Amino acid sequence: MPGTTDSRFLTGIQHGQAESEAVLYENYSARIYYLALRETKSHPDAEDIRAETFLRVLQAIRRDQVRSPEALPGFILGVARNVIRELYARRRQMGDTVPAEEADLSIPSHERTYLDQEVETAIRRTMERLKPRERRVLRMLFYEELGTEEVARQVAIAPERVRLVKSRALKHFREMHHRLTTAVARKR
Amino acid sequence: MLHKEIEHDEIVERYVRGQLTPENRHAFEEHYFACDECFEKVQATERFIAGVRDLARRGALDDSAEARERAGWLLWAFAWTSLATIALAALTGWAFFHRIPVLQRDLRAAIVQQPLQPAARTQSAELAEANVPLVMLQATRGEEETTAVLAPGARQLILWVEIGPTRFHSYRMEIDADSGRHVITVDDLNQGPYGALAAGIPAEALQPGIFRVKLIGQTPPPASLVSEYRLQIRRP
Repeated sequence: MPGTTDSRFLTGIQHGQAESEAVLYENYSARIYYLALRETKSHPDAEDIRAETFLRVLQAIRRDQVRSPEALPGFILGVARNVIRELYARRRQMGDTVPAEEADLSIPSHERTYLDQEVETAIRRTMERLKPRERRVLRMLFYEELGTEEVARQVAIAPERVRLVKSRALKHFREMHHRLTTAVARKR
Repeated sequence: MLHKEIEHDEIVERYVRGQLTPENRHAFEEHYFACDECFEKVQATERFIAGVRDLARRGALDDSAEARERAGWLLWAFAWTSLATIALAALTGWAFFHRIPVLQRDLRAAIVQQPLQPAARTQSAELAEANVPLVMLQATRGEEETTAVLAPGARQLILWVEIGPTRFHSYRMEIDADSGRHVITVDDLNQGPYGALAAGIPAEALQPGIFRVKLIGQTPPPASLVSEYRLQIRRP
């Protein structure tokens, strides 16, 4: 991870250098948000958790509570988990926690985060390249939530073939999505 | 957690799908908090699975969608085949009703204009004839024959042979009956202005029946068989 393994990075934060704080945010913001969203399935909660996590991490660094740059990722993760636990503990005490599976969401709210224009285009183009049987494999794996062995049995192919279909589709999707996001970034 | 283990045990996908034990989940989270590559894979897998689920939810990955796609493909295939058939029929019609008659007309005109070949000089001037029967020989495929009908007053039959490029400047035509009896030989045939050979065969030599016509390249040597034809003669 660029810029955060140097001890001068921690020193910079301790001295209130905006550049070092920006690097910290840039490197860990997406990770903390992703983790929080997976746990809470709520965007407002994920944003609150991210903000609280960064606040505590910066305070800890300034108090010299982080031993070394190598320990930083684990430390930040630990802080984020604590913030998530505290949020749920507070909610349980107040009795206003509604688990996502009981909230009758037609699409889990955290999945919507990933369904932007580039993802929809990339997934559509990926599927267009696949044979009908391969599309069926992916539907059975990720929508019907069947296991690899069960999918292989129903479609009458070897389990290794199921894994191959999955990995090739994912590889093509990643390449397509990367091209699309790079093109969008250039336009801006 | 090592990358080899992550790859082998499909950790990224199982993490995204919530299929890891709490212990493995924590270990992987600690890994990707420090590893850009693995975090990128997590996000890509998350997007991919979300996209697949979204398409499946909208019915785009249903078996009926597959059937629609197959029907669509078949429709295209049928449309193209039909077009190709119509085009072929049109081409055949054009060739039969227009091109071949034009070629035959041009051939007759060319024969009238062509200087007399050595073989033709053997015929006397009294043999000037109207409506000379002409047949275009097709290269033998199996036992198929080209048929020529000789009217009672016909004195000769023109055998017209279109040949592609060869190394020969002149040709010999040998005609044998199907029984093997030799009928006639015509030497020093050269390609005319239309790129074809034209040999006038006396009608009296061609009684009703099947004949084998061999075209042999003569010069430059060595001579060799160029093509062979079967000819059926009928008389009304």
